Amino acid sequence: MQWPYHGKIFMTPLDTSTEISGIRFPTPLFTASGTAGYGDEFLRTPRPYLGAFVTKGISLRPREGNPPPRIYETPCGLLNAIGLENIGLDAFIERVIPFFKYISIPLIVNIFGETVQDLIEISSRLSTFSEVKALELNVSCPNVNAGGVAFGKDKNFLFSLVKQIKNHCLSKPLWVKLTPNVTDILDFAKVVEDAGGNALTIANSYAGIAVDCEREKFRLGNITGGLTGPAIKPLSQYAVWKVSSHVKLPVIASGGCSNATDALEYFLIGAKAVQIGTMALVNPEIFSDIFNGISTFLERKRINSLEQWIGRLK
Amino acid sequence: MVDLLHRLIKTEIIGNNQLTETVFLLRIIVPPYFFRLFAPGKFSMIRVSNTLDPLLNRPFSISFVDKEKDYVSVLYRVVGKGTKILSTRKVGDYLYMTPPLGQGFPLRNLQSSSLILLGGGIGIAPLISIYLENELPKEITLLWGIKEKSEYFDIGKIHKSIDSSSLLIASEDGSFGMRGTVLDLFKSRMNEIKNSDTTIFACGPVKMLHALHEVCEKYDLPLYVSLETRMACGTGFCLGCAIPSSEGGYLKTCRDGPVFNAMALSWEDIHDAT
Repeated sequence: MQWPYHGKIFMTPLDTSTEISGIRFPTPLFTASGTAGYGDEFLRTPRPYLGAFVTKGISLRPREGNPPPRIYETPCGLLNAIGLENIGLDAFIERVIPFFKYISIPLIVNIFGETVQDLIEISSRLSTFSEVKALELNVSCPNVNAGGVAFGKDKNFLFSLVKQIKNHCLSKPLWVKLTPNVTDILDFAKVVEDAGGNALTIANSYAGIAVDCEREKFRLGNITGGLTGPAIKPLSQYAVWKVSSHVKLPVIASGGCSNATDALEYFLIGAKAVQIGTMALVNPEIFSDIFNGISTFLERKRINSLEQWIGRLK
Repeated sequence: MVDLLHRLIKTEIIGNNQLTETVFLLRIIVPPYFFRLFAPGKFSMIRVSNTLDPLLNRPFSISFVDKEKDYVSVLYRVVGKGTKILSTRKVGDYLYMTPPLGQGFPLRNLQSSSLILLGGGIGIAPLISIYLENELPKEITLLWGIKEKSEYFDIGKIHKSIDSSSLLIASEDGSFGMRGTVLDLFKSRMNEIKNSDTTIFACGPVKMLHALHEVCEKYDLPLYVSLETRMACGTGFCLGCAIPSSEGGYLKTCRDGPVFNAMALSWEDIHDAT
């Protein structure tokens, strides 16, 4: 090797950061709501390449969740009907928020409400904490009777909901997690944009059922559930591609990302970040695995920042 | 405190032997910290293959550990896609699994002078691990129920120190041991049990455990059951393995169990829940 060596060591270090709604995240890999708890347990193990922690959906009061069975495995997928079991806002504020004082990973709180009033109260209270970097509004859970997907399937309602929450969440960015169980998700993405939302999470799970012939029963206690995991990746990618090519808001992808290639695909079609859920249940070390895969790929392609890769294909 | 549980460890298979038509004994080399986290009754999530179908890791009881030789034994029955794949894995293959998870049998605070272990079919898998505990009541009886003789295998192959005189077997068709179910076997010894200071640990089909719970409740005998439910993460994050609690609401099999005090469960609701 001759000196000076014009090889890898002189390359600018790879910049894997990504910016969404005014926040710069160290990596584009986030947890998906509901798959890693509230953060105070998941982050007891170092998660070196996690870009942000998105919590389980938090409601005003604690929720028991749906009757079991709550999960059923399908080919390359997981059907679930947890029913937003959570500790409620008071316990979250008391137990979890102080923990994030000592954690450098940005905290994004996923919020859920059965009524508009609930959501306004949750967002206004959470917005007072500096530990909370953004709110992710869940208007897409298919497994609850009130709130959830019911809010995300009515355009007029969604518009007014996003507008009202924006008025109460002070300066915190508001992300909206949409349901793919609509005729055209793009219409709903535009509604969020018009109402002043700051980013879109595309998308929640696909409504599904599973049937047991032997016992002549439905496999889930709730009968219907939401399908996640690698099985839904092409469907979610379609939604991400469609939304990110027609809407200016940043898009956070969510749906079946199981390895670095999946993540790179999502970035290529315009996602600014990707949430990993089901596969993190299977492999808790997936964030490092995917990060390493992304770095190797971008270095091989001589691309020195992730942002140069994002949205190249639309 | 760093959480050692929420991770996959790479292990190597040193044995995967067929004991009966459907039952296999898997032996795997694990790192030393595995043994520090182990207690009888705990389970591990095993990634049966590195493919996306089947997607989820499966929960398995740990039946035996050998700290000197660095291996653990997992006794399992082939029932579906995951276990079928596991049964084809060869010696020398790598297998990813979690450290021991959940709450095991409450052996440390056990006051009873005698212990009855009651296993239905492959339900003996977690019960065998109890013999690994150093300080056990003097009197231990293992009751094992099988359907027919072909389901029998020698437990001594898994754990040498199990005293065969303490093992009683019932088969439903009468082809091995007493004719009847393991519950019949239990009831046949009721005269000795009912006024004694006995604790019962059981694992098996939910129907069997429910019936056993009713008997134990009648005679005021403490009963702990090891339950099996579908699980996704095994570490308490997905909330998928909910099981109805007697106090209302749900317990999680992975974190609050798999071993539960039978009084903590709402038995009427469990049949629909599993």
